[in-house]
Amino acid sequence: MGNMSLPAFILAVCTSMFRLSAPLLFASTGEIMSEKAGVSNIGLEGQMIIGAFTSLLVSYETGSVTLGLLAAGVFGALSTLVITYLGVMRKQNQSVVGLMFNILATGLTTYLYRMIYGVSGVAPTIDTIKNIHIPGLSDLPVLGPTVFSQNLLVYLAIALSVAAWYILNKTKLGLCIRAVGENPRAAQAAGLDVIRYRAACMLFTGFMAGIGGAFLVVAINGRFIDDITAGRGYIALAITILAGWNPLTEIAGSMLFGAADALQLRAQTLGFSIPYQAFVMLPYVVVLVSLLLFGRNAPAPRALGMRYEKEGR
Amino acid sequence: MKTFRKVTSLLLAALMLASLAACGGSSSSGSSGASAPAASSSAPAASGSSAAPAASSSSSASTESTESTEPESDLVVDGVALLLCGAISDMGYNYGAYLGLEKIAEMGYRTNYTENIADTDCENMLRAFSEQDYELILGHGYQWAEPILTIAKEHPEKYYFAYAAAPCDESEIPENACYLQALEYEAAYVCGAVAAKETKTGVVGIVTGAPAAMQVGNINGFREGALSVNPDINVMYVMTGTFTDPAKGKEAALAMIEQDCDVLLHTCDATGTGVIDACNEKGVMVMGYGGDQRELAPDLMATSIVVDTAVGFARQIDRIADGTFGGIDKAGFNTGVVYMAPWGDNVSEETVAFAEQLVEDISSGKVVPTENLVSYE
Repeated sequence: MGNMSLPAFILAVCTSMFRLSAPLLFASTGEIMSEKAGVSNIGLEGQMIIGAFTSLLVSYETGSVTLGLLAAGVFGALSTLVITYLGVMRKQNQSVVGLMFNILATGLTTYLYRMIYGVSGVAPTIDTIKNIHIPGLSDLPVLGPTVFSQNLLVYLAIALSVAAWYILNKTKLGLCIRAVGENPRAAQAAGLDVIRYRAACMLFTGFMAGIGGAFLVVAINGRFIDDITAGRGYIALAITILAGWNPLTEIAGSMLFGAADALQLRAQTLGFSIPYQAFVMLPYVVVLVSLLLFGRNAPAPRALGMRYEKEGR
Repeated sequence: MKTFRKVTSLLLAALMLASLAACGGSSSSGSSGASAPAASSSAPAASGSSAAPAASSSSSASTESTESTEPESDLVVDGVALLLCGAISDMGYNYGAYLGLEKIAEMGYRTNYTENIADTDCENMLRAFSEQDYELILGHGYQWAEPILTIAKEHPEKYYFAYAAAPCDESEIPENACYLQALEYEAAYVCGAVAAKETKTGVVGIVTGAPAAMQVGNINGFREGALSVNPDINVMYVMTGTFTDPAKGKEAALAMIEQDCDVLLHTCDATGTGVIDACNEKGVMVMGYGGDQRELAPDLMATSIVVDTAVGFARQIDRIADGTFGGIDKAGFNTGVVYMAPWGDNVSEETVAFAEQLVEDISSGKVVPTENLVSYE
């Protein structure tokens, strides 16, 4: 039935895989950093939606997408202070605080959006960023249209994942972060300020999640809609675990999810008589199965989600 | 210091609670943007002629529009509530319903609405509204079909209607419940026929949200309409599984456009705005849903399937007044609940004439699209 040859179909899936996985990539890179430091940041979804909202607000008002992105990162980062304060400093249950934060963020962004722009038939819209064209590379056969014709943020997402891997595994800073997440007491004995490290990692997470949420506005839709992130924060959480807290594996994990989603949307157009639910759940099934296959032996940071008492037992 | 910490913790907790309420509950009070009145001020419940200058702050001259509904507001219905599963900012289906409610408010009725209700909360929200002073409650969408059946039995003194296909046999529907089943598929049929006339590649597509009865009907209507014009046409469809994810809608549309699809219809609310985005990006003809969505794609929007909630409400109020309320109310083109938005300049004159004739033929019963709300394969 399809009007498309198989190679063209696969190319299309690969091209769209990058677009679909970029927001997840940003968010899960951030999440790896905070979890490595021992904070279980369930508020990823909330930080993403705050980023999405801020990017629209700032891009629309200033006309600069770059400013919008920066603001998305900054506000995403600042928003983690709520979780850091309650979940890290005040030692409340991090999952509960994170979930509450997500609800807060969804409600708050909707509220602010309506307060500023009201409700109308056409929402404030910004021009989305364009795909780049690299002379030479973009004209390659296969790789050109897929790998070398994405927008800049896609490359940034991948680069930041690699950078996060490098920092975590090859630098002293990374060693300190991991120490704080594995054995905070020992880290403290070595003179590290555990709380400060965790707070800083949370800021980084929020920054990344903010950019991830902003990707939806800036690179895909150009406008903000209630709950625009539609659960991507939770998927990014799953990818973090699936990847075994390794940013390089996480690139593969995000791409896998993106590819499965791109595939299911296209497979549907071919008109197979399979219930649509089978298609829609494909990406989630892929993640679950990979989690079963590869996620079992992943060593979680030992102090992940645990409250840290400076003194005492 | 310690008390300071306690106080801050408490304050933060309170903030979170407040946001919980703002997000889940009736956000009407919160969303008091320029054009989002909470509309819960109490108008005198007296007779229609003295109907209070409606609830919304801006509408003052409302007396003239009350005439058509004057007899009904005598006692039967005074308060009208609208419950939505999506957000009124979706620029389509839910936004259209919200506009409809505003019109109802201008007629002098007391109105209120709430939005973003999770599927699992529908029943509780209905119960909450039933306990308040609203006589007529609309659940706008397939999610309300079952809950209304339950709550209507609990509150026999109230009237309920769902904009949805009935979940049971007509005889099992309580007397105070009604299923307004707009014949959207008639409009989808016209869209399909127009798409088939306008396509150059012979591939057209429809993006939908979930396999609810009306959505399934739309796929079938669209396909039948397209095939009626060109039996060799390739009709694609994608079920996105969501009404609130524009990024996914855009990707679904791009997937179709990659495969040479050059006319698209969406029927999935906020997800559909993504479909329109994709068409804008690729310069492809698109058809909207819910309300007239021309502003989202001024040059590419061929038409929209408009669902007029105001007419839907007025219709039910009339039916309550003359005692015919209840059961399944099928409303097609000839009732004004569903109609086609004005045609765009990108549609050829010949096609527009053809489409207008088709709408007329369907209203008069000369052309009868098949109703199939069950299977779309």
